Amino acid sequence: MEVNLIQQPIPELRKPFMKSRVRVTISLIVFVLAATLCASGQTIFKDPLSPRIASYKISVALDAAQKMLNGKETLTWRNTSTDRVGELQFHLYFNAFKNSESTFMKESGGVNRGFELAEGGWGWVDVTSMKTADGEDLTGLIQFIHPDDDNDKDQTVIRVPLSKPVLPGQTIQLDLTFTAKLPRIFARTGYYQNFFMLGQWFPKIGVYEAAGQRYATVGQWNCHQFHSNTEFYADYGVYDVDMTVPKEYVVGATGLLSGVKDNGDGTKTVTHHAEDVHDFAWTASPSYVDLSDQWKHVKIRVLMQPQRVHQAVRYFESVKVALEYFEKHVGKYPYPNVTVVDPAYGASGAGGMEYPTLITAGSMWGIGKYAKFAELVTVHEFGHQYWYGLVGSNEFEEAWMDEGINQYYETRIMDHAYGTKTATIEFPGFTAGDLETTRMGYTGMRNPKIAPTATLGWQFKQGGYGNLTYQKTAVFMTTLERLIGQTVMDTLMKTYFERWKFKHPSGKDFIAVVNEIVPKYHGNKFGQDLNWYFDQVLYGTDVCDYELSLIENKEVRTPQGLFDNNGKKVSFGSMKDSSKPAMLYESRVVARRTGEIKLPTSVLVHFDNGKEAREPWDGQSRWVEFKYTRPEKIVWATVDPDTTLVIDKNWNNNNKTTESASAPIWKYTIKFLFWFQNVLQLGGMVG
Amino acid sequence: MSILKAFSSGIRRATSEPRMVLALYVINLLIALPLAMAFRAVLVAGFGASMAPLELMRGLDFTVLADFMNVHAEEVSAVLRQVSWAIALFMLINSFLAGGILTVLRNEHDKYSISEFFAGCGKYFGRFLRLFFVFAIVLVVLVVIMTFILAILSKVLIEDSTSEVTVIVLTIAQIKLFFFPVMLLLMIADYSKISIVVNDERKVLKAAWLSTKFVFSHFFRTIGLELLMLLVLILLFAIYALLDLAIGMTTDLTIIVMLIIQQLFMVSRAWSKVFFFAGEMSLYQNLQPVVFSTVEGAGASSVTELPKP
Repeated sequence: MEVNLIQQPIPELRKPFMKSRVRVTISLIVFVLAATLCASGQTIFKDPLSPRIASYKISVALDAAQKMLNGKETLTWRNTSTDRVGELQFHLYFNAFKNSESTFMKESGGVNRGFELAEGGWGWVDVTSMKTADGEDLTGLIQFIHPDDDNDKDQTVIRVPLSKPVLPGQTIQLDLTFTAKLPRIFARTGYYQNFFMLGQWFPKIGVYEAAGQRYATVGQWNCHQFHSNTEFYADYGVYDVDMTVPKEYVVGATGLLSGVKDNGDGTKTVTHHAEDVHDFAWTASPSYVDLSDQWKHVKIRVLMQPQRVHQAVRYFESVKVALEYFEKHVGKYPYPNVTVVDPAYGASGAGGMEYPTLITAGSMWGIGKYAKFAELVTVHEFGHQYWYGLVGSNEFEEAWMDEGINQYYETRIMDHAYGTKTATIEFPGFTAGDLETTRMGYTGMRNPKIAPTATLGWQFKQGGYGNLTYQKTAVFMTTLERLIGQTVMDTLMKTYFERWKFKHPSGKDFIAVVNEIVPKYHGNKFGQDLNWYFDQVLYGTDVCDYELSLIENKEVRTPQGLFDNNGKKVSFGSMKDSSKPAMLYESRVVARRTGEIKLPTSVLVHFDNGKEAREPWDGQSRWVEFKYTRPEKIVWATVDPDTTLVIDKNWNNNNKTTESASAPIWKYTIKFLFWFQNVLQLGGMVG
Repeated sequence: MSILKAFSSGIRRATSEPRMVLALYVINLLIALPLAMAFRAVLVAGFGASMAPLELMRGLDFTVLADFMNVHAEEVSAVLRQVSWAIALFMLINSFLAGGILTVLRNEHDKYSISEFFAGCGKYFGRFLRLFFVFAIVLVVLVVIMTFILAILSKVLIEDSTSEVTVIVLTIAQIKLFFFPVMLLLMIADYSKISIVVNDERKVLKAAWLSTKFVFSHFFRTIGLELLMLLVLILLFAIYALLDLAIGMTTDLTIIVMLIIQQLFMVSRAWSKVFFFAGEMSLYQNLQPVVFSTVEGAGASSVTELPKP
């Protein structure tokens, strides 16, 4: 990754700049207070929940006919590092849709989740002016940069050198104006007829990472280009946003509604105020049916397409399910509201997205509860409020910490609320749970070794991003949960959440919490730390597969023939005895590790008198054998009997029985025969 | 003749030929069985002595199925690839059998005999094969035209629609619009075969043309009868689905019971094949009366059409 290093020694510069630092700090406080009071007359949180590094006051007007935005933005950015920051970097993400040469278009091929960019649907954003609070015009200094690749045609990131660096602790205020043409929705943001979903729409400052923060060894901007796979990483702040739209439009946005003004010219200005969030998204449409409900302190608002109003109850229910679960198992949702947007028909590309306190879901007219995609998407996107919103993971660089951990919670919540075998699909005769389908997303990969999960989001050049960041993470998190127990897992996730909310953790920070919590409960059962686990499942590409390869029962026969005894040959036993049933069996089972990943497990052996033996196995060797000499025979045996190792790519080979399971084979042979006969009969209609 | 009369005549004629129905069922079973056993062999080899299939007794377990397919998708695909060949073979066999079925149905008052059946099969096979290719070509052309028309309709009616309901309703309507001409074509093909057998027509194109004229000149009766007969087929499926739902296949006993029910259903499918031909023939003979003047020793019948009533 190409980065800009702007670190200079500061001590000698500290004093001369102290006055201006104080002045800027005071002006920030005044600005924040004024903005907040003007907007709403009250604050949301008595004390700030986050460091509030980047705050915005934006006035934007939507030209619904021309699909344009005209905006004025005042950014207040605080330098929390000990560096003198000599330049600023911004995201201009609408430029991802400007032409076929943007990095996003090259990576996606103009297709996102099966939706294609329509003819003439290009979008762009221009910063028309940028000035400092004291009037210095920076517009001419703006340069496009491309820190992630060598694509000089990409215009999704800009840098602006400053004549005066921002000193440690100092704030800088910038006034920007911008014009944007909205892309026609095929990926996440834009318009479709009179439906507008505005995500990544305003010039947004990157994150300045000081040395020691995440992986930064020196102070540097972390401001990635807009990618096909990833797009989120920003600092927390306060947002006051005025959105001017046609009067008849219903507006939904991040934060709380703090005012509506009729402009008397057929437009209205809707104002929203948000605190301790790192992004701001909004939506507008004249067609929305505006519904709301309450869960404890959270107002749930659903903006529904009129033809799907009957599906709204599914959104409300699934948001409540998620809120309840997260509060119990992770931590409290601090915001007073959440808005669920149901995208218009034709704008499904905007569905399934997350923004602070606002998510886009997706339903379809006529789809019943047998397919719980509306619930699944809602639970998933709401979960992002925790792992992208509250815990500020860097989705670009460590997507598994956002998408993956979130997918893990999606499986937990969906399976808990809707059944482990029915949470996703519930057709008569065919059902599937969420963990089941998630696991298959990983185990069904043709090449699960294509890349480690801990790969930069845009560097999954040969595919596999979704499978390895979403599904594999959920699978190895579930495996970890089953190894250490759900109580310990919940404790560590609560600790991680509390410690890292409103901050930017790295993967090593997460693992540090695991290494801190697990030994507290399990001592050295898993070693001094669990680095060995993450080295395999997160940083490695190996696969896991254990199998039960052999069951054998041999009769122990009484010795027969002549045996020496004190110099005499003594006859022992009789050939006739061989026809008698043996009193003892010498039995053995062999379990194998056919994958490379080594995990502790056990083997359960079941005998014909109902007795069982559970044999622990550290899973290190290639195979293990357990022998028994008992009056009973082994009927079946299974390795990993509690299905702890969800990451095991094939569970069907985990067990064996000496009694054949022919009935189910016949059942499906008969079914195959029957349906094949019918297909033939259908073909016969043509013949 | 009314639709109901043809319909009841079809039921009566199909029901009075149990041996022929049974023969058709056995042929269907014999073609399906080898592939079913190949499928079983894949399951047996794939699962080995694993207990995982036991999970499948309750229903189609997603995890067991997914893990099985992850490892054995190639073998399953190999079996499924043979399905298309088996369908092609069965189409040919059906072209062969249709002659026998229609011969038996035409000679209503004769006692059914295997020799008569197979004589009919052999006699008309060549003509029916030519007819099959004619209609296959027409079918392909029809599908291309319909796809083209529906693509234009989609662009005009659906592409920029904001109404999801409209789009779904129109899409369903389009699918129906697509299948209606296909059903019509298959029906004309049936009447062409009937025309060939009843009139001993040697020129298949002429038979196809006359049948097309026949269907369109008695459009509502032919369509009405077809829909009525399709209703019987749907009813049979519904009965099967209800029994399947009620009984399930969760124990050794219910597997055996369902096997019997499934195979009885397949007998009913074979019966419905005869029933369709019998109903259509009844309608055809009554709306298009013919006089048979069998020429002794010629091995064929020359036919003179009478004016329509």
